[in-house]
Amino acid sequence: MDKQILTVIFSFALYIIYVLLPMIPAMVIYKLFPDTTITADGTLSGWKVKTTGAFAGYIVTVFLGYFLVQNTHHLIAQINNPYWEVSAKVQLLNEDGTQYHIKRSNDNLIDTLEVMVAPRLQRVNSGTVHLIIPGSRKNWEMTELKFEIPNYGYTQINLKEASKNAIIDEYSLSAQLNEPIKIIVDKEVVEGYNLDNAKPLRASDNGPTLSNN
Amino acid sequence: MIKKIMIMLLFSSLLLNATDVKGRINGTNSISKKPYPLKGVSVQLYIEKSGKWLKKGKFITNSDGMYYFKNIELGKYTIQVNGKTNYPIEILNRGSQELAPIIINYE
Repeated sequence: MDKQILTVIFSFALYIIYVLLPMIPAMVIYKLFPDTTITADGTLSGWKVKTTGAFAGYIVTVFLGYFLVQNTHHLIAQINNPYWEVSAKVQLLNEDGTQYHIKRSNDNLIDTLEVMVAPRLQRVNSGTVHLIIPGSRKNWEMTELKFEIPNYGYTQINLKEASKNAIIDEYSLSAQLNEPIKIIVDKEVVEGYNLDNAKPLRASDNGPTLSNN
Repeated sequence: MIKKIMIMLLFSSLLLNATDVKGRINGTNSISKKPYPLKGVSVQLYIEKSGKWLKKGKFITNSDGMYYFKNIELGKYTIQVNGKTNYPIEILNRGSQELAPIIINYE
């Protein structure tokens, strides 16, 4: 079942339980002590509350359950988004601490920013690589995985294509590829590159449509 | 038998005209003028046929900024970098060919 639908069902079920469950002590109070003088008096989320009897018991149980429900709701939300999105502004500064002036151009220096995460989002264990891929499965079509051993070789796969031959577990969010990732030694890679000092290629206005302006 | 030989000759002639192409994407910025390799850059190879651009390959640059296209037929092509800039190239050599670097100036 789709995770978003599952999240909605769980959230709805939680709400039903949250509303109905506190009725049990209220009914018990009503049945056993019909003439009770229990009173609930105070402010609840900005609302003034003053009630007596079984309904007072209901209000108190709902109030106490609120904190439990909030915590459970966070857990349900994690089914749909099982990762954190960390965002932060990045500032580039000159040596004197003044703001580095980023020109409005096609290629902004900030676009070359790389973030290293420790521990890494990948680990290799006994010849098996384990990766953490952010985002939902819908993005797999656009996700290219590049496996590279520097100065040896590389291989590149599309995650959606690779997942067609994989054991997928929608609940533990794991995908085990059946086919091994084969990295063949590539003599072009091993030989290196000799034209670093050559005149660079020149850009042209002619060519296929640009997509990322 | 003759048919098999003909097919083999056809394939071998195609292979002889195919070339492995490689090049490097470097970056510079206004602080450090020295070029440095750019990894993770999207490089796409296009050829124009009857007025239409056909994609012949795509590559995400390696950690040393290198990109590779295998078994490319000789001819004129365009390399598109990050979907932002086109660079016309010509593949002339049989076997393998190194292309001059592409330098992206980040500002």
